[in-house]
Amino acid sequence: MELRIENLTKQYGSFLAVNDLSAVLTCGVYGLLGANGAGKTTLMRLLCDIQLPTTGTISYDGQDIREYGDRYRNVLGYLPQDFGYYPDFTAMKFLLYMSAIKGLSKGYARQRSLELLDEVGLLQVRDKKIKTFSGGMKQRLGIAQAMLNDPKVLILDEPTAGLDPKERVRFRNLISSFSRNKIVLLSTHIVSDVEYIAGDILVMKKGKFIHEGKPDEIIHTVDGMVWECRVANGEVPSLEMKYNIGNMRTEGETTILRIISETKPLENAVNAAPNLEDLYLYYFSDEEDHVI
Amino acid sequence: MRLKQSARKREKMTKDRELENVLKHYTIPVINPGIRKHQITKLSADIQDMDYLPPQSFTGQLLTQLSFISGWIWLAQAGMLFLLFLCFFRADPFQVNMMMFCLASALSLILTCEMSKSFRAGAWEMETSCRYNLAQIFLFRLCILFGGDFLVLTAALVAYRMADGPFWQFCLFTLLPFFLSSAISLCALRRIGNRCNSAAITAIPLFSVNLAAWTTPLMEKGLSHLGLSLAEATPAITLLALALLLYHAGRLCTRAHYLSESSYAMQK
Repeated sequence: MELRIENLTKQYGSFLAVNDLSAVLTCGVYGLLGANGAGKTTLMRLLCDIQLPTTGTISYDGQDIREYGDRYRNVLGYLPQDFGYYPDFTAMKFLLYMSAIKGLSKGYARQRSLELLDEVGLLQVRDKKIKTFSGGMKQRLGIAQAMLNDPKVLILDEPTAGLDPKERVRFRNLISSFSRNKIVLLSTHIVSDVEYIAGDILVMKKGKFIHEGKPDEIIHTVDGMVWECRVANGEVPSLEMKYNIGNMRTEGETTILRIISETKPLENAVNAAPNLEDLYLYYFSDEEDHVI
Repeated sequence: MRLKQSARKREKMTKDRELENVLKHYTIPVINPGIRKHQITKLSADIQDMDYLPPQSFTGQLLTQLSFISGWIWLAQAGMLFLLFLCFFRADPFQVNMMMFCLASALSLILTCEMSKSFRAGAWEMETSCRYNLAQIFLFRLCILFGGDFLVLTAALVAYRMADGPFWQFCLFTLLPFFLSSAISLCALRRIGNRCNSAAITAIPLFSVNLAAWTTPLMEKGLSHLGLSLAEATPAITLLALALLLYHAGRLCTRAHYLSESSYAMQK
């Protein structure tokens, strides 16, 4: 089973949202990492055939997804970034509706909906209207609908947005248990989510993949660029202006800084082991804020 | 009884022995492992699909979708019919025509609201990625809503004719505004797509139905120049409006991609 992206480009007017991307996705969890506006959502929409590419193709098991049509959609699960719901539907009715348009039989749909509601912790509120749900509950319902048809290709756009830490842990476990023999692609700018569950990471910037690989391999690309040093509290503002600071911790009159820099920033700075968060800051420090 | 059973058993054993003797003359064919593996894979896939993805007929899917149409629609239509029958026979012709006009506006508004709900709720993207995609969902919804509208309009026509109202006036005050405003709404929905806004989508049918009312005197004037009366031309114009409605309904239900990219380009 493979999802092949070949020379994919999507252009809006003169803006290139996706720029000549090529990749082969096989079974496993892929984390798509990038700042806002990097082209993640557009790529996901293209993968779900919600948008037409300007050029290039996407094929599933060797066949163009557009030719595959409803057979491709049969194996597809998708959670969009702006997950919409019918406010007057109850959680159960919503899942039954989604099951109906996914073509599931009524008996299977009922059983599967109950199973998933249980897995995402919404079984007790299955008969409550969605409009009464909190943001996190709605998001969990969205994740459940994407998994209804036991998809072979699961695409999740910002699935952990709005989830509290406990819910995020539950989500990670759910994805890990679900991902066997499946292609799971999840986009996020919550770096820790990707770090824990993704087997492979695709780093996207300005419509292109700038790095692809296992988390450990990718992290090595910023080896020697992460520094830690202790400075007087008064020096912090000037250093903040000058350097890309990943973390700071105040200890009395001094502050411990974690600086991402290609050169040694201060005399007393020592190299630190990089993590995915440092990598993100290294590549996206000039772009919009992110959540870690 | 026992004798009969043992005779049957003996007969079966003889048949089995005969079959064994026949089979001794044949060798067991060797199945190509490649073909065997291919068949097993194919059958497994078929079985998996059969398990929870049964082929569903159009009618079957239509009936399934019926349960997900907003309940208030049926209530509103039933209420309208009830009010219509309650007031109809007591009203004068002008009031009757106004009532019919209001009925057309309400029907068009209901159609537009229900058709646009995927966009208004933001569920369109999720629905597009399903086996029955958004185009097919639109088709199911249109079939169900047109079915309901057909029943309401037929009942209204019967009442109108019973009150001795001429057919062309029914066309002018009911069918024409309904067809025209619904056509404009569906066209707008197709073009606006995901940029759809509740207020705008409510305004479209109300505005267009009123537009139809305002332009009636102009239409009458124009027709008189051509030597035609409203009574003669209205049924034909109504048919044209119906054709326009069907055209836009068809376009809406056959579109593959609903994301409005022009606005996206401007944002970027």
